[in-house]
This record gives sequence, C-alpha cells and structure tokens, in this order.
Amino acid sequence: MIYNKLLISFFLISFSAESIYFFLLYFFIPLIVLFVILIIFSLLYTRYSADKNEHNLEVIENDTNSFLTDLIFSDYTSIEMKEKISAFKKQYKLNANLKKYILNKIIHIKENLNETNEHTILLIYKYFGFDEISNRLINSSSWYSKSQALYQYQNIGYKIKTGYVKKLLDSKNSSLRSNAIIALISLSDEKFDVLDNYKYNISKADEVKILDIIYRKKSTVPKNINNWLQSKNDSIVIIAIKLIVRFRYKHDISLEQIAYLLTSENYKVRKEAILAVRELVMFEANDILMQHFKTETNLRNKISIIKTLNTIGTTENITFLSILLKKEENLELDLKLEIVNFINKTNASFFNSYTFEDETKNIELQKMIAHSNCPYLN
Amino acid sequence: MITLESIVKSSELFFGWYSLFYILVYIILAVSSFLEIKKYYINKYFLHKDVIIKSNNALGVSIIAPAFNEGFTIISNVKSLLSQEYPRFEVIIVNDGSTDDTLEKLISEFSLVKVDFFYIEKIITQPVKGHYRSTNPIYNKLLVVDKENGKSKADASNAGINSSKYSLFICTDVDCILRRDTTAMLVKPFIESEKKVIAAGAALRISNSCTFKEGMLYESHYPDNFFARFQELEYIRSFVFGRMAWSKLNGLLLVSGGLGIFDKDTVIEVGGYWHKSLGEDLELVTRMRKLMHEKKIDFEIKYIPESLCWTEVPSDGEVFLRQRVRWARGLIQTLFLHRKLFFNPKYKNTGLIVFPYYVFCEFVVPILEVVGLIFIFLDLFFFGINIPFLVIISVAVYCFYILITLISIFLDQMIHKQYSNLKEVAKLIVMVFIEPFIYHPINIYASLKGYLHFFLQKEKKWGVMSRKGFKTAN
Repeated sequence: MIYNKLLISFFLISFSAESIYFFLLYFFIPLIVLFVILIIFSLLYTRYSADKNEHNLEVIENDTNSFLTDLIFSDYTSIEMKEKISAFKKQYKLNANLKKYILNKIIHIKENLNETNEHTILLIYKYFGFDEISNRLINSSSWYSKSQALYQYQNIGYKIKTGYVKKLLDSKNSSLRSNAIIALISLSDEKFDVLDNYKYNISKADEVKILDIIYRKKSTVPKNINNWLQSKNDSIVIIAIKLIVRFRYKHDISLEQIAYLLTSENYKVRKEAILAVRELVMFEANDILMQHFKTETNLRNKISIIKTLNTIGTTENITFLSILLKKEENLELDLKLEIVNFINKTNASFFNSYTFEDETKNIELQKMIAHSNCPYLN
Repeated sequence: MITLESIVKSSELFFGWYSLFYILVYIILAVSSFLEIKKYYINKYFLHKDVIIKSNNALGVSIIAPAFNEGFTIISNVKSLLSQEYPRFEVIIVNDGSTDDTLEKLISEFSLVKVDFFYIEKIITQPVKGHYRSTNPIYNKLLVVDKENGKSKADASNAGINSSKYSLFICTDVDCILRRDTTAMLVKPFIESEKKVIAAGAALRISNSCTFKEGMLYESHYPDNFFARFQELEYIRSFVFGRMAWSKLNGLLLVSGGLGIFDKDTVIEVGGYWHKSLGEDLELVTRMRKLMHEKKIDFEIKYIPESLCWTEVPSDGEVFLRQRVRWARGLIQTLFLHRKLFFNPKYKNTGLIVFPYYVFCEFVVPILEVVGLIFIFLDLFFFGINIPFLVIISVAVYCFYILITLISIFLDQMIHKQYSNLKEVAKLIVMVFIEPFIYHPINIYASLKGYLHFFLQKEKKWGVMSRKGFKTAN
C-alpha cells in the first residue's frame, strides 16, 4: 500500500509540469542542441576535407594505377619488384584508405584480366604487406573482419591459407561459414570435392557464388559426382547437375538418374533435371519427360518440359499434346501457348486441319500460332 | 459537467503523452535504421553484385515503365533503361494512350514493328491495342505495349505485368534515370534472403538539378527550385531514415512506385495494382502482406540504402499540391480499405505494429497538428496558458525534428557523398532549419485537403506533370 502511494507520488512529481519544464530546459534541449552542432560540424568538416583531398587523391590514384600496371605487366624479378614497392611506399604515405584502394585494384585486375600471372599478383600482395593485414583480419574476433580476410584470400588466390579457411567451416555464424566454404572451393586444388562432406545447408546466394566459380575457374568434375546426385542435400544435387551440364559430361548422368531426379519432392531439383535434358540434348529422355509431364505439379516445370521438347522432341509428341489441348478445358494459357509453339515448330502444317468446336478457342489458337510464327518474339 | 476548460486541459495532457510516444517511436526508428544500414554495409560483399552481373543463372527481370505523353524525354529515358548491366532482363514501355507523339517517336527511333503478341490478361486492364518489337537486334530487349488510357499508372503497370516474361519485375517511371547496376542491386535481396522476398526497393533521389551524361548521372546537385529543395530533404529523411528502419523491422508497407521490384506471381495472385487507388504502391504492398499472412508464409520486404534512381519532382506549387493531395487521399483510402488489419493479431506485425503506426504516426498527425493549434489558441485567449512552458515545449519539438532530419542527412552523406561541393551541403543544412516553418505547413494543408476529398468522395484527378527534362553534360 505504502509502496503504491510512493510510486504514485513519484509518478506525479516526475511528470508534473514543473519537472517536465526543467527537464526540457536543462537537459533535453541542451543535449539536442549539442548533437545538432556536432552533426553540422562533422557534416561540413567531412565534406571540406573530402573536397580538399580530392585532387591529391586523384593524383595518387592515377600514380597507383600506373605503378600497378607496370608491376603486373612487366617482367621484373622478385627483388626488383620488392625494391619498387618499397620505394613507392616511401614516396606515398599509405594510409588505410589508400591501402584499401590498392588492394581492391589488385583484386579487380586479377578478376578481370585472364592474362595476369598469379605468382606476380601474390608477390605484389605480399610485398605491399597486405598478407599481414589479412592475417590480422582473419585472427580478429569479428566475423565481418574474418569475412574480409576470406574475400582477400579467395580473390588473390592465397592457397597457403587454406588451413585457416577450413577452421571456419564449422563457425556458428552462417554468413562466415558460407564465405569460408566459397573461399575453400575457390582456393582448394580439389575444388568441388570439399563439398563432399559439407553438412550445412547451401543457400541460394551460395549456389550463385559456386556457379560463378564453376563458370569462371578452370576445374574438373568431382570424382564422386554420382554420389552427389544421390545426396540428401538438395543444393548439392542441384550443383552436381549444373556441374555436369557445365562440363557437358553427359555420360555422368544416366536415364535412370534423370528419372530418379524427376521424382524429387523439391521442384527446383526437378527443374534442374529438365534443364539438364535440354542442355545435354538427351533425345533418349523424351519418354521419361513425357511420362513426368503427366504428374508434374509445378506450372513453370511443365512449361520447361515443353521448351525442352523444342530441342529433343519429335513428331511423336504431337499426338499426345494435341489431345491434351482438346481434352484439358482449363489448361493454363502460358502452357497452352508453349504447347502450340512446340507443335507449330515441329510440324508447321499440323494446325491446318486442327479445329475446336468452340469458335473462340479457334480464334485463340490462331493468335497463338501467329505469336509462334512471329520472328521478333522468339 | 464537462466544460470547455476541462476539455482543453485534458487535451494538454493528451498532446503531452502523444508527443512523448511520437518521440519514442522516432528514437526506435532511428536506432533500427542505423542498425539496418550497418548490417547492409557489413554484408555488402557477401554476394558481390559483379557475381550476379556475370552470372549465367541470373533471375530474369522485366523492367516495366508506363508512359503517358512523355514524348519530350522518352527516347533518352528508354535508352537509359536499356543500358542496365544485367544478364537477363527486358524493358517494357507501356504507352498508356498518349495523345502526343510518344509512340511515334519510339517506333521511329527503335525501328519498332507491330507483332502478334499473344496477350494473356491475368490482371484485367483497359484494352491493349498492340505490342511492338524492334527489328534491330540491338534493341531486342525492348517491348512496347500500346494500350487505351486507363486514367491511372496502375492500369498501365498491370498491362506491363501481363506482357512480361520473367518472374520478377521492376516497376519504375519512364522519366526515372536508373543507375546501371540497379537491377543487379535490387535482385540481391531475392537471392540473399532465406525467406520468401516479395518486394524490394531502394532510395530515390531528385533529378531536378542533376546533370546526366549518356543516360547516367554525371553530377549531383542540390536543387535550386523552392519546392524541389524541400522535397530533397524529405526524400532523404524518408528513404534513409524511415524505410531502412521499417526494413529492419520487416514492416515495410510502401515500396515506392518510382522504383520497386516485385515477385510477379504474388502480385498476380493479389490482382495486381488497383486502378482506383490513389496510392497504388502502398495499397499493393498492403495486399501482398495480407496475402502472405493469410497463407502463413514467412516473407520479407527489403530496402537497400543505395541511391539507384533519379526522378523529377514537381517544381511548381500547383503540381506539388496536387501530388500531395493525391498521396494523402491514397493513404486514407488504403487505411480505410484495409481497416480489418488494424490491431488484428492474424496479420502479425502488419496488423499489430505497421498498420497502427500508419494510423497513429502518419494519418492522424496532420489532424492533430491543427487540433493542437486550435487548443493552444483557446488556451491562450480564454484560460491563460503557461507561455514559458509552451515556448519550451515548442522549442523541444522543433529541436527534435531538426535532429532527426540532420541524422538522416548525416547518414546519407556518409553513404553517398551527394552534391558537387560544400556550398550545396551548407544550403541543405539551412533548409533543415526553415523546413518546419515553410514546407511543413504546406504539406499539412495538402494532407487535410486530401482527407477531405476522400470523405467528400471527390472525383480523382491525376493532372499533368510538366517535365523540364534533364540537364545533360557534354
């Protein structure tokens, strides 16, 4: 009771007009004014110094670019290179921003020019002392710093650090774990074999990054790619199919495997299997695809099957699909258009004698045929 | 008996508590915004945009831009849209029954021919007269849809959605200039997030005084027009501050009509943009959120703190007022239409946090400001107000307002380093101090007028936005 009374008194005193007045006058307003002054000052000062240094920075950046180009594309010995870098470091005070600029520039050159010598890039990286920076970053406690180090190792191709990277594969932080597996795939000589025993989920972003490595870097299909196709991790299965397609290793995927993949509960796996049939031009998978078409529930996959038939289909498919056009009253228009397109492309005269009882459907069919025949739409 | 004096005194208490609540909300938003921006920059290199740009497996994106009487700028704008650095995209220009030479200019410049496009009307629109494709392979990513005027951007956008072939679409205005990596940047949240992303957006900037070269931003300047200056300030506060905070709280109810990317299937499932809406972007996102909650799908709407789009804003009072009246009317229309969401636990954070925020901190604010003023005058003339207290409270509110705007500008300058020199930054800072006295009352007037038009069911008018076009650098 007393406690409640005390609380109410405190409340009334705290929120009385007088106390609010003094709170605002002596605390709230001065504090905000202080913040306002600080923000204005830092806004103007930051901009003033940025403008002041802009010209100098531009000159230094141009010099740096010329210097790096000279280093990368000339045949200097490692001793000459070391001396040149050391002279450059003496000439320009390398602050954090300039170091970041140089490192990013080196990475940019390596990523965008195929003709760069990996050994030269590594030497430049080391002689500038960037390996020490990367070391500090990878040993720091912040996952973000570790990720930065991984980014640098991966893009410079600093294979010697693979051991450090492996340690991060079991990190509790999913972003760091993801960055580690990507860096490891990129750095490891076995490339994709490192995914063999990877137990964590591979995100969509990881998939994109792995595919980037698949398409950009020289690598071979993993020895046990067949085991990957049986993996319980759908992402691994998808990557396996993409690898097979990328390297055109048609013999690594059998008809049985295609049939098996098409039974997957994950529509994305089924989609990849359909795409594989198309990309690898597997004529022999025609029957399997047609069987699967009847049970496929995903509209986009159904459309994808028809698109695949454009590559591997024959006139034999027409009978089934033309019956389907008449039988299925509520066939989605996107799918219908794709079917008409396939039939029209396979047998241009087929629709000459094909009509519906319903005239509106005939008009619709004619519009679809016109769409299919338009050279600017296909 | 309740006297006028007791009402006035009670209202003082109400306004006091309301102000405290409002300040608390903004402090929460400020912290959330800061955390979200920090998170964005920490994760920026998790999936580098270059990986997406070079990818052979990139998600396909249709860029839809409705055009109504845009003959003045249409060619340069379409070229700008076509210069996106992205592997799989198409540009769909919807000519919404223009009465000028928009279509003729497009046909002539891009060598367009009418094609037998099989148009599937998944969302009902005004009749489509035809589709045009270029005979020049350089422009094979361009599709022009010619339709009858639907008196709304919504109808034109829907026709674009119906004609699109990819599963994601970007909705923009044809007068918007996009950064070359806009598509890649907007697609990122769809790849990075573990949840289903249904929409994403990014910051819009004002193009009025900027210089453009080959369809790209060349120099950024602080606008020299009276209305544009304040709108710049407002855009910064809204995008850097408000949207980022709501992105952190996964409570975005608005993805700007100027630039937004959407999951096409979800948009079609909710029936597309509503052509009768005066705030079609707000209304669409509200419906999409509703659908996700009803289907119990874990979803996200993301915002990224990058300036990816430059748009021309009204530079004369009449057009500005008309736009703001329409926005205010759009807000009340959407809130009224979806009132079922209000404090409805079925709609989780949309019903319990976002919708109430829009009601209490967006919709009612102009009304309360006017009512507050009336009470102050009543107090002043009849009941003897404590003038020192009134002054202190007003100064406190003013300072807080200034602080919030300055924090937004500070974050914006740290991220983007906009404007070509220090003088322009100084001008922007000066505007912060005068905005509450000049620009804010105009906005309040427009909002109240919009609400009134809604209640009176006045016929909606879109009016014509007179374009000045862009300054181009040689």
